[in-house]
Amino acid sequence: MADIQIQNLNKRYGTFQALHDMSLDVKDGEFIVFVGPSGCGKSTALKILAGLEAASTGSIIIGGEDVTELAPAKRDIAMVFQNYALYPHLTVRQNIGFGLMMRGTDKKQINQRVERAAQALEISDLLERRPKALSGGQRQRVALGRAIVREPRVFLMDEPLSNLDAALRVQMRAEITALQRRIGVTTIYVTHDQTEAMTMADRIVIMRKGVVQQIGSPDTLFNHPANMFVAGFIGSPAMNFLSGKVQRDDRGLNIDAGGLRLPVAEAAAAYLGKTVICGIRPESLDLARDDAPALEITPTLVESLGTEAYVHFKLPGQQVATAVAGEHEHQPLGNGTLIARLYDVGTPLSGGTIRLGLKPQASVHLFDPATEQAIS
Amino acid sequence: MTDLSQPRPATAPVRRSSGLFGIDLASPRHARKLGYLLLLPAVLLILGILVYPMLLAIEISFHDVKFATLSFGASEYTLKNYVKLFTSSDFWNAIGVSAKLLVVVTTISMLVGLGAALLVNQQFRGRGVARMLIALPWAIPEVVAVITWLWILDASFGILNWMLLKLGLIGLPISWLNQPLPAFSAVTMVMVWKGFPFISIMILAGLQSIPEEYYQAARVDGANVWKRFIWITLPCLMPVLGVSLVLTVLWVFRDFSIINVLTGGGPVGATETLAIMTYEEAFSFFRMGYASALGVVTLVICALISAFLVKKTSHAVF
Amino acid sequence: MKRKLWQSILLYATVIVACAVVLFPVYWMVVTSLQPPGSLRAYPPHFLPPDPQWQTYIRLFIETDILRWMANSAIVAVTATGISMVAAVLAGYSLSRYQTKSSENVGLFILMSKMLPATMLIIPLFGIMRSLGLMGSLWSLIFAHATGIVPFATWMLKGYFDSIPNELEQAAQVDGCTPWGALFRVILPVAAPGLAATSLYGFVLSWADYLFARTFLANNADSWTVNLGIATFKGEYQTDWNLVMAASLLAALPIMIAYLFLQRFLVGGMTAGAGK
Repeated sequence: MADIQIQNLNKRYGTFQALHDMSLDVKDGEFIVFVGPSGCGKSTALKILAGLEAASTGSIIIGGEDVTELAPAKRDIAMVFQNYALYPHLTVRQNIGFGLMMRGTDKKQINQRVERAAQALEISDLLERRPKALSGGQRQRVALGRAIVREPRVFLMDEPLSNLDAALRVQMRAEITALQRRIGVTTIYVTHDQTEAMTMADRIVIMRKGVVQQIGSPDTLFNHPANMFVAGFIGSPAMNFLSGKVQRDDRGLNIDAGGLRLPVAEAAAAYLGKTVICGIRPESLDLARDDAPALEITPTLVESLGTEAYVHFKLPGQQVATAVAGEHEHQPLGNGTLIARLYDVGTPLSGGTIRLGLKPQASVHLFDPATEQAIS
Repeated sequence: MTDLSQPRPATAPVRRSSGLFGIDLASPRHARKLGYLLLLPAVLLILGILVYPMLLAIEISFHDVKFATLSFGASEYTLKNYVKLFTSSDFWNAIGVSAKLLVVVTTISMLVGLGAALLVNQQFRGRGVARMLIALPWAIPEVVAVITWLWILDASFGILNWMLLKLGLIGLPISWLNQPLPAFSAVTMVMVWKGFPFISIMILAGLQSIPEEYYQAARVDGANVWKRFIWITLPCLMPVLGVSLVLTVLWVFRDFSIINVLTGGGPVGATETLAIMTYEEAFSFFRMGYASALGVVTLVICALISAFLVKKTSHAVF
Repeated sequence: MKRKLWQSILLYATVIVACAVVLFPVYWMVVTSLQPPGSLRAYPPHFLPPDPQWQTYIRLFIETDILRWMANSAIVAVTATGISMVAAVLAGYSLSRYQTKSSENVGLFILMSKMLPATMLIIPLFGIMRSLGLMGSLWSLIFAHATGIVPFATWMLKGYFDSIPNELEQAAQVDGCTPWGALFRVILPVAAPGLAATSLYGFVLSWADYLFARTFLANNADSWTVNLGIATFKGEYQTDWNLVMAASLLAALPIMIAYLFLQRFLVGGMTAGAGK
């Protein structure tokens, strides 16, 4: 068990900068998730941590020891891969025990530890099988077993759940989190799925194009996104972005967005008279009272999920296409439509116009249209 | 954003690992060096046994020597060998024979190879055995194959003549190896028999890598067997066919054993290819300078053919 | 998709005829070797020898050096395949895993070297072997064969390694292996079918050689390989076709057997090596 310092890490492939001056301090026992769209450098960072790739510049210190130049074998880390990378020619028992054998542990002890790990993961009855004869979820457990049996200083996990089906993914997500909390090994987990990041991490490192965008707890990232990218990436459905002009009236600073009056904090005073981008989470919208100012919209689609409904709509001229959503960048979700997530709607919504208002306590996030940074 | 700029710890202990010459090849920093190191044995073998002799052969071809010299610039340089070569009717005959053989054997082998592969790619009981048997000639040494064929082709007691007579295809026994056209046919027959299995193996491998979904989709679209072959099988096989073609062409063009044992290049040069002529000049007449010039010409032609074919076939790939 | 009856019959008939035509020379080799000398020239020929003459083989062992030739061939083929496999495994692995611009060029260079005509190389090699004192020695053949096998073997193996996910040896390295350890303990066992196919290819190539053997070994009958021996033997025993065919069958037998065992790996190995 150990803390990790990543210091000014850079990685270049020719002229392509895969990782740009990344620094991070990981506390002992912390669960850190690197998240971002594909090509954001999260996997590169993990490979450099593992010693599978060399950093161009910068250093990595694990447990107070500079390991930048050290071979993966000597770093005392364990890694779980997306495709599990189980050795197909070895049985489950041999797979899990492989790392111990490489380190010269004696046979009896290997067997004991393998069986203990297998028990913890409930795969004791699979020990004599080969990986080919296992289901996806079982392979996942074996891969985890291979990692925990060595009791390493650090766990590295590279999208370990993305090859599982949805239901199993939710289950394994909870199991991995519980396992990590129980044994308390410092863990770095890479994923493109913001839900995994939000549900599992102590702290999230969100990255884009090789640059760290923000580091913080899931709550921090959700409630105080540093820029439009983070705001759009965290949360599902994604945040709505509308453009509007900052103005001042008798009730204070506000923005007029298509008939809706959005009150904003004094921090936006510097932008008085200018256009800014307002981020409103789908959850912040609700049906407006008849007398309140509201957005009058015609839904393009209403998805009803029983207790909640997703109302899709468009505001031509005002909506700002989100640049980011999901695994791949520049693939705006829902073609730039806006979404309101409404709870416990009694009346049928389809057909006709709907009046949407802001919930009383909901916050509006403001971003500078040029820099895309949050205004605060 | 406070996490982004952490104070560095004063000094972290650095663990150095020792390895070959103090370089730990397992370290991520040295992965590339390890990569080159792994290539070394193969490269050394090839430099020593292929490239160095090739350079020597080119060198020798510019000297008027009877025996191979092992140093460069040992005697006077001359173009004599090449002048003699290009004015020799034997040389042009060999070029003609090589070209003829190349076209005939390659075409037939590719067709037979493709046919055999398609046949044993069908679903039927005993397919495994059929696959094994139909490619068996690949595993028979050329010399052994040729000697067996010599017996089959025997003018007086050969089984082939007997069969052809029985079927009424010929009126008199053919003296296969003593007349130009039958000799050429005999060489073609043996080369196809020996050469098509390798092509079949390659094509079969290619066929197995075509996803079954393509065929199902085509069937849903109403394509018949022939259309499926033209629009799915052939395009998917193009890379494999290209590689097989290059390998077959190079093999036919350079093969020595089959013709040497079967006809020795005769009768009257009817089966004398460049390869046979080169060897004869070098080791029967000990005109090594001249033979090297022949070898160099063979090399240039091989290079041109494969460059052309690789270009042609790589087009087909995309 | 059910086949109609006539289609099935046609298919089986085609397969049987094709196999019969292709295998006829092998069959004729076997039949002739068992034929009593008198019936070799029988008219019409006997398609099944009425009285199989097994003593032809005994005569072969007594009158000729065929066993020694076969031993020589085996020594050369095994050693040459061994040497070339070491070189080809390392090179193929490097080309598959440590790809750089310059290593790609080296890879192309290795493949291109297959283009060189043996009849050209043999002229200077003849001189080189003589000056090294290897003329008549099996080593001359071993080096020539090993080098001849390397190019295609390297590319076959590269294709095979390409089909094994990178993460496997990364996992092994994280588990405590050196890159060598990962190669030997994980990648090679997983690549076993590919290694088998490639070895078979190398073995067949070496066993079948006649050109190099004839040039390097002709003067030393003790080190003749089986092909060289049989070609010479055929010259001496012109008309004893039963004896010649028996010797031929023996010469072909080892690789035919190896082929029958390893054939199923060959197709897979070829896909990896030749396809994409």
